[in-house]
Amino acid sequence: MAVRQETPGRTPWKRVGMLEAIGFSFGALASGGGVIYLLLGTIVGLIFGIIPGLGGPTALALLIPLTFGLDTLSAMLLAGGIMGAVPFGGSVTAILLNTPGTAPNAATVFDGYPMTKLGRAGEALGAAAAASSIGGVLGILLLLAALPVAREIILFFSPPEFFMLAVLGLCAIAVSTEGKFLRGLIAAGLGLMIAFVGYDDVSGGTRFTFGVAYLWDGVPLVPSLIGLFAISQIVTLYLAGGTITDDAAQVRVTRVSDGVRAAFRNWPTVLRGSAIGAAIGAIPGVGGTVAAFLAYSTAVQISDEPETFGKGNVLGVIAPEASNNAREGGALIPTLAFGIPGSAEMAVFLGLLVLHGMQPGPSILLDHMDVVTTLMLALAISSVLASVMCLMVARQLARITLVDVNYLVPVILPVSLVGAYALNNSMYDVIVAVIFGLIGYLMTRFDYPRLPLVIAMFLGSVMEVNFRQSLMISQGDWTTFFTRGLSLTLFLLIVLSLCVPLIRYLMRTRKTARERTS
Amino acid sequence: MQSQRNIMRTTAAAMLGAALLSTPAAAQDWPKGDVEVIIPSSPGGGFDTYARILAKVMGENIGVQIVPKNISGGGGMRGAQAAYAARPDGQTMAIFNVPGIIEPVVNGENPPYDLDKIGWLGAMAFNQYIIVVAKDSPYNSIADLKAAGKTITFTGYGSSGLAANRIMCGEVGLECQVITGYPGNNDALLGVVRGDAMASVTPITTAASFNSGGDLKGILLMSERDVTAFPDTEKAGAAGYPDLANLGLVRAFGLPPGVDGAVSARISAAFSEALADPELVSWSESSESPLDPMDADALQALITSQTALLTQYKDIIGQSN
Repeated sequence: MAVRQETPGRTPWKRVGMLEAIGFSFGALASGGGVIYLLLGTIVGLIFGIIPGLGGPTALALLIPLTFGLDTLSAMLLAGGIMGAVPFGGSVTAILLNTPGTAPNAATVFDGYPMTKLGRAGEALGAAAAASSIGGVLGILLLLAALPVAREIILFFSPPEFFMLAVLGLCAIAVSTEGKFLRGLIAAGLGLMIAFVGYDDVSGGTRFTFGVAYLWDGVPLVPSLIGLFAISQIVTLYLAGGTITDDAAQVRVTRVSDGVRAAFRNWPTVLRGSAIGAAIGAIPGVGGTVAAFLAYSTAVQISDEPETFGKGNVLGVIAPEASNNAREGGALIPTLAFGIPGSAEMAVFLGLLVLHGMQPGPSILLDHMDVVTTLMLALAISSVLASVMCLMVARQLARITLVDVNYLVPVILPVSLVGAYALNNSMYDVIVAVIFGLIGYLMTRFDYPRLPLVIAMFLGSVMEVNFRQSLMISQGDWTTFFTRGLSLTLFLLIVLSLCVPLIRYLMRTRKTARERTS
Repeated sequence: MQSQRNIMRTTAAAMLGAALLSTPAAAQDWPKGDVEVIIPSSPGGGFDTYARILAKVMGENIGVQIVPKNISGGGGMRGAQAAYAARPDGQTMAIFNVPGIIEPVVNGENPPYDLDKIGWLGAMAFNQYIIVVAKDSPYNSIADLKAAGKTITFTGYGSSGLAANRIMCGEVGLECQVITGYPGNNDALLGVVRGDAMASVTPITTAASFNSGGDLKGILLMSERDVTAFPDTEKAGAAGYPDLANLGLVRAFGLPPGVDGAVSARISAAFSEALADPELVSWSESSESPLDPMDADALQALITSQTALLTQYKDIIGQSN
């Protein structure tokens, strides 16, 4: 039904406090179908996360009509189940097949796939699962802590700060160039050019669309990702033949537990990743993908062995995965406080709230606190549940890397193309995926890193729109970027993040020189 | 007695049969299974929400599934094009964004449809605009803004919102600068709250739901209706700008050109019935999503008046920032 349906036992439309609301949430979970809805949501989320292109927004959009007949809290359990499970589902293919299941998992391929190639797929999956679970729960706890000051946090960020954040995200390119800096910059330049295709929201009118209406909304990200990673990977695998992991004897699937232990041992990385995920997720318009890249690049910059990243360092899996699940909690802040979706998934989720008779905005925290706490409970449980489910089959999943690619390719190719199509039921999206598949293959073939292109495609328009808005608001005064406290702080962070590797390099060479002379 | 009842039954059956025979075959067959409703935007937005709830209620009434199909992209052009080119068998209907589909016509952009040929069913809602400022703003009325004697900055979202903003500035005689590029109406309102600009022209329903925290103050309702969320805000007519009440987002529904008249009449009847359905009405009340049921004639009149306003201010609307 369209009107919010009351859960049995709850007094209709009575404002409830946080603790009472949490009680209702547990009640809804324990009642008849509660656990089943959550479980169902988690399984659907995992499957939609694993299949490239499908992801959370598609799963939620398909689910909306099914929730009509449910009471509101059950609908939240179902939706929360999906949203909590998708991020981890997406990491499975990122690690095993070099193909991020959802856009925010793109950062996980940096080290996840090299680990698989080294026969450490089980360990990578274990680390991702543990990091996702902890990140998911931490994200929700941070959300709980932030709810009372959600408004203030959001009002703190204006276009100059969004611009600086986008630039900070772009700095992740520096660590994603795999030692080929100039080629990385070329790829990033191409990404920026692609990012500027489409309708220009600031001054109106279209750019680089060549009269094709499809390009008005720009080059779509998810089909491009499917092409760049999944399809180009399929071509590479097919041409190479054999199996993904070269040496079958190396696949020590028992190392799943090593991965889990690695996540717990490296708790500072998990905490940092979660904090970055929740914080960036809370900022509308920047989103989880930036969070994952930032979590990754921070892990690299803080590490004593930055050169081991990109070659199968487990920290490179832990950091972005913790951030990915924590961002869901963060993204709820602007969604609930102002009705501004913090991610694509949240945009669809807003529609679900409206259909259940609720208006997102500050009043939701007053009038429907139990809805909010139920969603949070579902998100936290689902992120743990999805990881546990996956760990149970990790052994079998890791064996995928031992299957002859002649059997793998005919399965992955149609699934990827269907994923590209299912997003908007558009053949154009499939064409984009194929074109980007070719681009991706050529880039791998000629040794150009693909991730700088992806990062630039993600951040190009955020950076541009906020740069222009900042200047419009300040009447053309560019000092606006440096006269605002938060914007200046972010600028200094950018400078710092770019200088840290240089300073460390200088210190190391001086130390070696000293050691040599002594 | 028994035979009399039999005769009555037979007569009734014969009359029903005659009535059925008198309608063309196509109308009798409708609906031939699931009906599709094309939504020219992604899931989750206002048009999507309205179309989905209508699909559910109308589908239940006529006994078939009405399946929402989102065709987003091209500023709604892809969806409008698909709806216009759909097979005219009554199995496809669509929600249209008015004035979104009028603007390309006025701007001479040669859109892939002819507004006069769309088989209009009517509209669910007509969402007019309001001018709002931050709650601590020194301005309390449109006269205050006019008397400020300086450029008034607005935050704006979408081409329709931008057009409404510029038309308003033209009608009132304000020197305006619109800061664009916000990804949604709520983002534009947040911009006003945090001080990106002085004011915003935004759909009344968006402002009402955003304002449950009391961050905004109404300056001018571009409408003649009473709005509970903004009880003391001056209305367009009283302020001397009655034409501003013609502006707004219309959740309009239509069929592709060429649908058989009798089929179209049945769909139209089912559409009107759904709009009066208690389930839809109660959804509208609880979710504060207003319903302004409008038949095809009323919708056509509104399209004509909006086209006139958009044409009059064509040059101002087309200005680059």
